[in-house]
Amino acid sequence: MFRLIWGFFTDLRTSFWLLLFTSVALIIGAYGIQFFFQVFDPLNDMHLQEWYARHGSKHWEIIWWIPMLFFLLFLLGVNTFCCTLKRLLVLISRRYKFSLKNFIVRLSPSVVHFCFLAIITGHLLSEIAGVNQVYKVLPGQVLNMGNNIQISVVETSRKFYHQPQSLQGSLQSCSLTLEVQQGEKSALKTLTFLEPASFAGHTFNLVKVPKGDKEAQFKLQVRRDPGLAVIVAGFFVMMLFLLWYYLHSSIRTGSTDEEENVKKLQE
Amino acid sequence: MMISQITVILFYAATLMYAAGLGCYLFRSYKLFDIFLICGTLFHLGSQLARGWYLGIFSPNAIFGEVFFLPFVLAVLTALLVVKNKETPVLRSGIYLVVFFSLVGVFSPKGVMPPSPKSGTVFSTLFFLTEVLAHACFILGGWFALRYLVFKEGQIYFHNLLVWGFVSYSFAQIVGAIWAYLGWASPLSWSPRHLQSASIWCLYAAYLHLRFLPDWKPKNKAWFALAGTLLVLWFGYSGFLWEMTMKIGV
Repeated sequence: MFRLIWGFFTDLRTSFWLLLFTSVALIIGAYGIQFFFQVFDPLNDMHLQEWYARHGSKHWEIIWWIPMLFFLLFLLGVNTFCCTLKRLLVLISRRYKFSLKNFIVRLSPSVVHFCFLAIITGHLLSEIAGVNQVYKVLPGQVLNMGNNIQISVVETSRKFYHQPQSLQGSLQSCSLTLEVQQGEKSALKTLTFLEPASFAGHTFNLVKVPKGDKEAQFKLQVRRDPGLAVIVAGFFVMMLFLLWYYLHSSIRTGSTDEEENVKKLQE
Repeated sequence: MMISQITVILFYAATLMYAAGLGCYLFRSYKLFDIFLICGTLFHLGSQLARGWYLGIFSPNAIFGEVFFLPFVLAVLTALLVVKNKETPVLRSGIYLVVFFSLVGVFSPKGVMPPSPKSGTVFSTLFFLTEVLAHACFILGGWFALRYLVFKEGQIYFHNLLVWGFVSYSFAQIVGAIWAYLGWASPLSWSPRHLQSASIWCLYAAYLHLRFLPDWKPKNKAWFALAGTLLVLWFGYSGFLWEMTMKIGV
């Protein structure tokens, strides 16, 4: 039984079909979100479990692809881990047959696959753990978050284009100044678009500014994302090894299947 | 002369050059083809650079807008392939795509999206640049896959293009995730755009695994590559097709 399961999960055909089914689930999801935006949009402002309790559980006919996607990603994760482990064991046992450079090139796909595992695990952590809260704020407002953190909104500002004429009236920049306190610690933080601020392990992002009304509320998103570091590190290492692998295997990728078969026969 | 007019005139000039190049390709006048392709690419480069100043201030993202930047990248890739493999006329057939996507540009609105405060980062510029580069590789790869299916030529080229398209697309996903985190507080948002990108990435990751499945014949791989291209085109241009359909009242 174990051999059967191991054989299934270490088969590259399993990887291929799981990737293909995941792609299909994502296509369904893309159209699901497009057509039922009001159901899925709050998912960006809260954790998955909270969203499910408040919105998702009432719309199973629309959200069925999300559990399917998670199930496929889980299988893909197990498959990736088993395949990579199997390959690594073979590669390490033959370590002394390759030069260091050759060995690193051969090791690269395994590293890329482990990075892929890290990235999907990081995304899962981002979706279910840490803090993800959204506030609509006005100057003078005081917010009490968990972890004994208090946020006071000091100031909001918006600047519009006057020149050139083609951009007159469009939003040029905006900022939100907060005083953040946790116990004895306090700090004044000014947020602008694309420049979040950090305090006590939390990240404060200015994510939306209303267009017209001067008195309208700014949207502040506060996150403590345990998956972020894993995702960023995974992405970075994955890209390095992906480039390294394809730059050094251009000879192999540059031959046709027929040519490769001939080479294999000659070998 | 206004910068917007210069942009449009240079783009039309580039399209004419590409069309002339296509004519030369059809009549197998390859030397003249090369000259027209290079001239067209230079006019197009001028047009794209001018687009950066279209609104009166420099906006790098305007240069990399897909509708006008895609035919340029296709032209550059075709030129590079021709330079690397001078004796392979099949590579010049990429000019069909260059002309087709330039014509899409001709019939598209020529304006530029005003820069939003959320797009003022190098990550957004890198994202658009690498995403369009990846799309161009996927589309050109799909084209050679089609030619492989019809004429049994060009397998090596479609595979290599898809590999480098995948690398570029992965890079686009990384810089896109950083941009999304800075602007929207999360590296992945539950939006059609993000899920479409993830689905394309998974599809091409599946394609790369085909290389290690000996029971998948090159012909089937070519069909798969073609399906990938159709998906990229559908996500990229279905909105445009919808707009055009509404415009002409169908």
